[in-house]
Amino acid sequence: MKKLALTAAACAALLSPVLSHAESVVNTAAGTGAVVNARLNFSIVIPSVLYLAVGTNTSFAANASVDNLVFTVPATGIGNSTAVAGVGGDQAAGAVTVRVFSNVGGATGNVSLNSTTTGQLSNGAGTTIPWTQIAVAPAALAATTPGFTNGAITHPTFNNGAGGGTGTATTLTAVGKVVRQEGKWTFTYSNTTAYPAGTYGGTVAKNGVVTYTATAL
Amino acid sequence: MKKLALIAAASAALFAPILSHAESAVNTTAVVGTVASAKLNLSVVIPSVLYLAVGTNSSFAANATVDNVVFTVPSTNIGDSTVVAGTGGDQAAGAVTVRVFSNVGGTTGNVSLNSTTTGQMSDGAGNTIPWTQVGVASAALAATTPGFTNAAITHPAFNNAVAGGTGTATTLTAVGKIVRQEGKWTYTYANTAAYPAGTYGGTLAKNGIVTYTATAL
Repeated sequence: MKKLALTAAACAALLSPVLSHAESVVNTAAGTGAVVNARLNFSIVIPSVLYLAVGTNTSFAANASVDNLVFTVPATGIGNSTAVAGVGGDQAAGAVTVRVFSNVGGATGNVSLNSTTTGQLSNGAGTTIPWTQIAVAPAALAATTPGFTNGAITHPTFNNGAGGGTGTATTLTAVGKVVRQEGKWTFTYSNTTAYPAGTYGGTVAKNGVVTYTATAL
Repeated sequence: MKKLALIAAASAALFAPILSHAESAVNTTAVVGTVASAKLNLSVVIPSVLYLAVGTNSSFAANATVDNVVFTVPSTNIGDSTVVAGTGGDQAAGAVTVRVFSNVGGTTGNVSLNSTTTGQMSDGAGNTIPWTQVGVASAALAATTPGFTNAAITHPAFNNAVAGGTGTATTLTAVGKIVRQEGKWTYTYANTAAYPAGTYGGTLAKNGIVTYTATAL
């Protein structure tokens, strides 16, 4: 009996791929008014995606490169309060793309966007430049990605503490529990104070690297 | 199934370089609370500048003009101790601007300011007037350059030796390793002794030129 059962199971397993077809029904004794039904079962699978890009990017592709923004103060303008534009960034002149996508859902579908510093910009010789010297102007991108809302995204204010930390989070409000927002952040160096010569930031060790995080709420 | 997985892996490897751009992050299995992060690397470059102006100047730019300060003793007052004001100098009446900027840094960031003479002022005929006859009054400028400390800067006393030499250095104390000081030096001729008629100094050959030096400490 046990052997028989095993044989039957083996046959079923063997034949099931061959017999696997969509529903069909046949009524071989149909008269007027007879009805047959055949059904199809549809399903759409939407992956749960949380995407954040700051700088040069291709949508929905992860990449480990980090953009460098460099502000070089003119020798004739040290600390004279004339703002210094940067170089670098995919939008040129110290500007970067910001793009966020989330369809994770949750209660609101909103996304929290924040920045994290590791301390003030250091020259490695005991002098630091506070993050308050770095200004950020949000604006829309020149070209809109289809489906995205292209506008100024509030920059999450840097944490200027000596030990760094998370900044002041910005909430991106979902529409239909989906966030699709993009914009541009243009960074400038305020240059309101004279500092000793040197390169401040530019490496993790000198606190130049800011980490942005998008959190699905 | 194994074949399918291999094809998928090969496709991913094929497309990865195309999608290789600055940092972006994507999580395709995100749930509420998931975080995606992207980084930016910022650096501020401050050039190393040591700037000294005595007299006519262009802010933070070289200016080859050497001011002439002339003291003409009235014929009725030769050697009678009536102080003689000068003419010339960018501040008029024998007065000049003194402005020092340094962000060179170092241990203190201080700047040493000194004067160098090439000898006592000569009439080219064997007579000399000692530098002790030239008084210097230090004061603030009428108008302050933004960011600068505008106050009396101690004048580095002239070297009165026959062959000249460096004087007595003045140290300008840095604040945060930055020196940004300005002031005014008003020169007068003490006129305490009677000298033979002639023009003393006025040329390098007659030891009329004093060289001021600022040294980043």
